[in-house]
Amino acid sequence: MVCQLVQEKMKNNQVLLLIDNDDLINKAKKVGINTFLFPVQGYSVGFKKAYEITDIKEEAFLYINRNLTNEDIDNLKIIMTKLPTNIKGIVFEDLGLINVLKDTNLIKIYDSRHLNCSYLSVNAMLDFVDSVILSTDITESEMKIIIEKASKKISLYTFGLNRIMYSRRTLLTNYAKEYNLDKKEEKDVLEKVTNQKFKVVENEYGTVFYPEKFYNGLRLFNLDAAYYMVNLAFLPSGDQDKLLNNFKNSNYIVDGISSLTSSYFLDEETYYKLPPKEEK
Amino acid sequence: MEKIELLAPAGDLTRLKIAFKYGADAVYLGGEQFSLRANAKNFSLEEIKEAVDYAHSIDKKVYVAVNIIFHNQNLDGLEDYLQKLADIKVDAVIASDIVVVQKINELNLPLEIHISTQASNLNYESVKFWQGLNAKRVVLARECHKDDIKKIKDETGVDIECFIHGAMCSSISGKCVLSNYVTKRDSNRGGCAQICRWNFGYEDDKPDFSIMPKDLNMVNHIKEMIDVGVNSFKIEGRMRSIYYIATMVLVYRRIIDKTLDNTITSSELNYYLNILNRCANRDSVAQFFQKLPTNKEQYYADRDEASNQDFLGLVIDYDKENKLIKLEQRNYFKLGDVVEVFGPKTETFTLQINKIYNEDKEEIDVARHPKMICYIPCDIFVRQDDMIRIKVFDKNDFV
Repeated sequence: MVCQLVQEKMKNNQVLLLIDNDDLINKAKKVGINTFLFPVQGYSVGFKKAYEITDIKEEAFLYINRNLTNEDIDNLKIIMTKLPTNIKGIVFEDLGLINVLKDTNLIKIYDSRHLNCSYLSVNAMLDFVDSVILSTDITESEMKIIIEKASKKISLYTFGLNRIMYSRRTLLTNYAKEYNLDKKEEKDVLEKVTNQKFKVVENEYGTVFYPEKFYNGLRLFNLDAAYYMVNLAFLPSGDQDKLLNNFKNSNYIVDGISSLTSSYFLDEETYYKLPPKEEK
Repeated sequence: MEKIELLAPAGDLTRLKIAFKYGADAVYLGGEQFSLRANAKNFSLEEIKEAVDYAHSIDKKVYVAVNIIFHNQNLDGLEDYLQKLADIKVDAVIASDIVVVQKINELNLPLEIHISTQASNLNYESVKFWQGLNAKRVVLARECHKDDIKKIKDETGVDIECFIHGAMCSSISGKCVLSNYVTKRDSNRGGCAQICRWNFGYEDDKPDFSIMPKDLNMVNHIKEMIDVGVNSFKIEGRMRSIYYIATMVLVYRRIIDKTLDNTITSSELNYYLNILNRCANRDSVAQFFQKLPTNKEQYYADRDEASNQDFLGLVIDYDKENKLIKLEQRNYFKLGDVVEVFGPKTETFTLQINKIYNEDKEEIDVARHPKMICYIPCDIFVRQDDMIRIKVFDKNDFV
């Protein structure tokens, strides 16, 4: 059932597949995904590869997921006037882009990340953009209420590593410098109290933390949304194939990779105020 | 020149009054609802009213943080709460979620809107976005370089508030939910467990990976901050002690005032820096104001964060006739100790403790009990709420 829905969304170009390597494009096309989301070189954090806009040949959305400086904004104002016609839309995180994009015909999707977690906040943002990608910090029930009350169709992050911390500092470089070690741009570290692993990814614009497991919100394809973002970055190539083939075939959608995934907060709300000790 | 504001944290009414007394122009505080210090003792509405009435009676301001990121279930009561804050006449609300801004506009409430640093504003277009929603002031992201601050000011004219002292997030504020994943406490609803202060294993034979930043300290950059257009100078730390608040506020008050009248010297700045460093017990640096921070702006292994017992007592009263300070003890001191007395209207001076009397005016050798009342002789007039600290260096060593 879920697979049929996915295929329908793929056909309607509603599945935004994030591309962090060239091979993925062909693999995705074979299963029927034709709309791609490209991290933009110089304007994204947390990926092994980002793309120059001129190198993007597919029908695409641009992904600008970092906080922007004044200089970035000025540069993007120029870039936006020269976009090739294959660029259909833009997924962005910095509110400064709203003014920059307002006179373009691009589809504007605000990636609220951790900020817009209520239907009123989402609706307030929808006054300025075409869609908002809901936060992964909320439960599926909360998402359903937002979808029901939203003034436009929202979008959903359905699979991938969740970016759970974004520092402007170059934390891996700083560590290597402190201890005179070779610099790495990607490293798994272990939080010692809870034994949780985190993936740390750095580029010159900052450092990102991801949790060990991939967020599995594929069941959200059941919900009515404008776009469904799928992010296979850092998923081993063989597992990418498994997941994409599941999109194409009629198997259960995370068959073979479920141990790598978690639904995180889809079913379990985070604490707002701590309960009294005896109730914990 | 626009008015320069010194903005201090207020964890409760006592600290609020100390902050004002030591020179803050305004304070920020959290109410019992919708504030990012969810598990702290925050202000009730009655206490906010008392705080605002007191502040306004001495021509000062109170800003209330309504800065959680709202989930659907947290929306209940928001309108009513904002209405009550307006009725109380708070001077501004600090918001990071657009819903708060929208509600203030929708209800046409007479509340000034300040956008929290949690909203991560680093460029003039994002500031213009908030101005379009009637925001009067933006607390810029702590990642702003001085050139960015200047351009934002030039392009928008917005009131700019910047942090000048205190703890830093490793993350861009608002962009971290490490707490959610490690402890299930929602960082953006006040549950931050400060995971960035924890250690991470890197490789078996390598030192731990650390992401912990040193604190922020802008003592040496106040003039530049004024020059690039910062209006409000904000001290971090709603959970800090009265001693910390008094010391920070007094030092920055003096630096700002002397900067404005062009009388500050580099040796004085050095002296003030040493006072702050001694009080804060963590290393502090300018962080992003001049350059991208390196490993030198972070903590790694073997950091020294031992708290000190410098704060010896709070002046309750001064007996002019008998030249006796009535003191509420805060840390152990004894006969012979050399201390310093300081206060908002008291020029810091050195005092050797030659006698100590207990509450019954009996001579004692040591003041060992927390909050005990005692008396010490002092020929120089001191004032209520002045403070006494152990002397560790002398101003003359610097100036």
